[in-house]
Amino acid sequence: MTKNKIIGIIVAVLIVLSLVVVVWADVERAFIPGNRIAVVSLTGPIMGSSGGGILAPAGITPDLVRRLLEQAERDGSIKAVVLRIESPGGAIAASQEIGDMIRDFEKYIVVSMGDMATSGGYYISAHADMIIAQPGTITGSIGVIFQHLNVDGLLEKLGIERETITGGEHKDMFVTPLTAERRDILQQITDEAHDQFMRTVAGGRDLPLSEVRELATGELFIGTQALDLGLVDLLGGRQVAIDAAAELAGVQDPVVIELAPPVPSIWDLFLGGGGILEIVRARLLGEEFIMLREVRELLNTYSLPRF
Amino acid sequence: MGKGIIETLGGVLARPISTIRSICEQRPIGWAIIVVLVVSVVSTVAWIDPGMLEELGLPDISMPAIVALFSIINMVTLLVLTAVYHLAASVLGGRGTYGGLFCGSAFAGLPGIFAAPLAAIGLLPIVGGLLSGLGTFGIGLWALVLGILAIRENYLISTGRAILIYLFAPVVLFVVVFLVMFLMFFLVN
Repeated sequence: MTKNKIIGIIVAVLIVLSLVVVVWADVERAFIPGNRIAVVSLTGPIMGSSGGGILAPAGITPDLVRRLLEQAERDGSIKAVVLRIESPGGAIAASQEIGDMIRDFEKYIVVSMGDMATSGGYYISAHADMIIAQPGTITGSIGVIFQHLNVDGLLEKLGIERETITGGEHKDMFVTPLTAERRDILQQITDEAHDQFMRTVAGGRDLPLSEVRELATGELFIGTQALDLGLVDLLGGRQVAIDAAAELAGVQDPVVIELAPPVPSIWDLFLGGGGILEIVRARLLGEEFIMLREVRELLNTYSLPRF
Repeated sequence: MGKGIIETLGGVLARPISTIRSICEQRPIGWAIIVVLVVSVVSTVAWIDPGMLEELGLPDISMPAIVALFSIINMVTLLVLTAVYHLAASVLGGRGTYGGLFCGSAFAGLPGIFAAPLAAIGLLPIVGGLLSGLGTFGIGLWALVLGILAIRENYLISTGRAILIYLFAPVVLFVVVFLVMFLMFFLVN
C-alpha cells in the first residue's frame, strides 16, 4: 500500500467519524433534557415589518418573534424563556400576532419589563405566564389611539394636486377631512380594538373584565402601581425574571443564554430598508426624491389605529 | 484514473503539485464531480443545521434539501468560476483546457472535507470555537493555495500570473454582476 493510499484511507475514516460526532451532537441538542433559560430581548415599536438601518433593524415584528421563539422551542435544552420587553406599543394586528405566539408557546415565558412596556408592549406581555417589572417601569396605557393626518397643507406646499376617483361611498375616507359620519365609523373601529385589548388583558391576567375596564383608560402606571392593580406579578429585574422562569420550569442551577436576533441577509444589506442601495439612491437623486417617495407612500397608506 | 481515487485523494493532500498536474492532464471529469459533491455534502452537514438557516433568514427547509441546494450552488459556482479563470488565463497567454482546470479546481477544494473534524473540534468546551476557527482559516488558505496550483499546472504559467488570475478574475466578475444588478434595481425602483 502506498503512502498516498494510507493517507487517503486515514482521512476518509476521520471524516466519517467526525460526521457521526457532529450529527450526534445536533440530535443530542434537540432531544436531550437540559437546564437552559433563554433570554430574548424585544426592543422598539411593534410593527408589521422591520424598519431601521442596515446593521440594526429596529422594532419588534411578528417575524422576528416567531424566529426567536421557534429557535427556543426547537432546542430541547431550553426549558423556559425570559422576554425582555422595552416597547411603547404599536400596530394592533402585529401585537395580536405576537401575543398569540407567546400564548401558544409550549414552554414557560416570563416577561421582564425594562424602562417601558406600554400599550402594545403590555398587550403582548399579558399573554405570558408571568410578568415582572421594575418598581420604576412605566407600563399600562391600555387603550387605542387613532390619528388621521390631514396632508393637504403639505401637498399644497409641495405643489401637488390630488384627484380622487372612488368606487364605494367611503373609499376616500382618509383623503378629505373627516366628516362626522366617518368619524363615527372610525370611533367604532377604535372602540372594538379597545374592547379586544381589554378582553385580552382580562383573560391573560385572570382579572374581571369590569376591573380591567376601569384601568383601561390609556393611563400610564408605574411598576409599583401596576403590581397593586394586578397588571404585573412581581417587582424586580432580569435576574428575578430568570429565577422565576427557572422555578416555573423546575430547573435548578439554570444556564442562561441570550438568543440573538437573526443576522440580516446579504439582500437586506443591499436592498432592504435603509440598505446600501437606498443610501446610494439618496446620494444620486437627492433628498427631495426620497421625500417625494415618502409622500407617495403616505398617500397610498391608510391611517391605522394603534395600541 | 491510473492511480485510483483513494491514492489520488491522498496525493492531493500529501503531494499536491505532482498530483494536481496529473489530474489536469488526465481530466477525470466524473471523479471531479463526485469530489465536489462529497465535499459539499460533508461541509454542509458539518456546518449547517436548520436552526442556523433560520437565523440567517432563510426558509425552514429539510436537511436533505439544504444539502442538495448547497451541492448545486457549489457545482454551479465551480463551473462559472472555472469559466472565468479559463477566460482570464487565455487572455494572459495560458494554454490549457477548461476540463483540466475544472478537474484540478474540484480536487483543489478537497481540504473542505476537513470541515467535519473541525466542526467536531468546535464542540469542545472553551477552546473548541477558537481551534475550529483557526482550523477553518487554515483549510481556507490551503484550498486557496491548491486552487492557484491548479491554475498554474493546467495552463503552465508562472505562479505570479496564477495568483493574479485566481484573486482578480472573480473580483472583476463580481463587480460586473453587481453593476448589472444595481442598474436593474435602480431602474426598476
